[in-house]
Amino acid sequence: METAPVPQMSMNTLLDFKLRDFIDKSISHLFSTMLKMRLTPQDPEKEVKFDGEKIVGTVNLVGMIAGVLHVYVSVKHARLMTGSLLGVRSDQIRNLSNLDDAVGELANMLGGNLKSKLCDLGLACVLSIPSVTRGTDFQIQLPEGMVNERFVYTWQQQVICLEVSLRPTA
Amino acid sequence: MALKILSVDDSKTIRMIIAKTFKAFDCDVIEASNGVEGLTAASKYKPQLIILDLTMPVMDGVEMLTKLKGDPAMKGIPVIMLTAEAGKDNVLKIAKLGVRDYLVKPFKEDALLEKVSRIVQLQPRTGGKTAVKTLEDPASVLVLEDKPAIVQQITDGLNAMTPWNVIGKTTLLEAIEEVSLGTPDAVIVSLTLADDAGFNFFQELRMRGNTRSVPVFGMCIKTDGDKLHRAEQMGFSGVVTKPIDMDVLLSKLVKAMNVDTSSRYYTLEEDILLLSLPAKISNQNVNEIEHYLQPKIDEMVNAGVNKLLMDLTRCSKVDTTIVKLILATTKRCHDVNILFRIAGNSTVSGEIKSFAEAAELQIDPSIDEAKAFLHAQKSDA
Repeated sequence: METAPVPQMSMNTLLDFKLRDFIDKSISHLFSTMLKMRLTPQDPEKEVKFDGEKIVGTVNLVGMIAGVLHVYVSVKHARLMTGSLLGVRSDQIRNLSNLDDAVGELANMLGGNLKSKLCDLGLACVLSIPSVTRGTDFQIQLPEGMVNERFVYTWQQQVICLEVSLRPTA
Repeated sequence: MALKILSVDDSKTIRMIIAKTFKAFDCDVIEASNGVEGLTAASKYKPQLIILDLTMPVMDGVEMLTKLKGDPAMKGIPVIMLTAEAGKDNVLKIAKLGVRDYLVKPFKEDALLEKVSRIVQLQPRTGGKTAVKTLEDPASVLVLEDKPAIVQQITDGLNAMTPWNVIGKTTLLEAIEEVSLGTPDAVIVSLTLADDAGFNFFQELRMRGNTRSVPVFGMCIKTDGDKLHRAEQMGFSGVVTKPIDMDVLLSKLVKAMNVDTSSRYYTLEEDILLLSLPAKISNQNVNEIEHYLQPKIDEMVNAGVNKLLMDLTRCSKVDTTIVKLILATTKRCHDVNILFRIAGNSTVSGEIKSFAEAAELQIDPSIDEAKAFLHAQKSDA
């Protein structure tokens, strides 16, 4: 199947975009503002292992850019984050759907910030409603993009991993 | 009547954060999870304000806002748009729809309150926690320390002198969680925890809006100069050295918490203000007593009380500091015609009189005798 050619301007804009700097700034702001957690960036190639279940929040971008953003955290960390967001003790959060919602909202905020930046760069796109996957034994395959970046951060031994894939469309 | 605020967001987390933000105010927060539910709730409850998310399933914020502005009964309800998309085009689009203001996610609760306050008047909910004012008021002290015996010592020591609640936590995560739930009035952290947890906790506290100004004391042994120096450099409110002297710790805490400690020394008994000195008196005690002396004398004068009795009966030793305090009190009482008397045992009396400036002072051997003297003065008057 033939695909339409990608405009050179979109490709150049995307290649010039400093995604790592943007995400570093965006996630640090998000976590310090709403979760009162100061993240420490780690080597993005660092092997990440989550103890027990993990939760992945995902948002998609569609338009002049097609893209996806995944946020990975352990259930334990999601519980701490949700407790911090809601001002309750983490062990008082009985319903796992609250954790899913919180991680989904974090993906939504990060994705929303990214979408706005891309639109400001002239790469008009829209953001999907977040989706959430929870489990122990699964892997999410990142689509082949022009820009594929992985980000790893820690907060008090808890790991947050982000994956972003972006590609211009016709 | 409570203010009605409608929160429309597909994220339960955001709705709960908004509800939490207005918990301290006289508000009813009504929740809806999409535009359709939002319109129904707006029509039913007639809120004074709507906080509206942009991206939602079923009906998004733009469509709900368009329908709202097209309804004569609801078009006047002010709307604050909440969006994770802060792009220029998006902001322009929102502005054209007639919103009163917008807030970009992530947001601080203070920022939301500020924007809401510009549109509606928020009244504090009555019956909330009151500020600590005196030593009799409740307060909470959070202790991050992995040694249970130390936590117990602080708990027992403070509970013997105050009604304060001491919360002991042994790990950094537990302590962070505790301050997420509420704001302690003071924090004591061990500086010797593994992985610098005590110092990391201090940084966390200073980052958080609710704990930024809470006094934080570092705790370690006297000889650990490096840690004490580091705590000082980082801006800890003070340090507590082990072994802990509870009187010193309490003095440091009350000073940092701005607690009125006058009741430790001054009590009004009928028509006499009793100034009681503790058995073991430190310079900090004397400073506190002097700090409250003039305000207490002013209060006496305004209340028509004209007798002050200084109780030294528990004291075992008198030094220059105490004699200076006695002389200062004598002078201040004399200046405003307050009758002043001292009670103290023979040893104390002898020590006081050994100072030339205090040789002429009359000292009664017991409180009862001093009171009787003061009451007799009243009869004479």
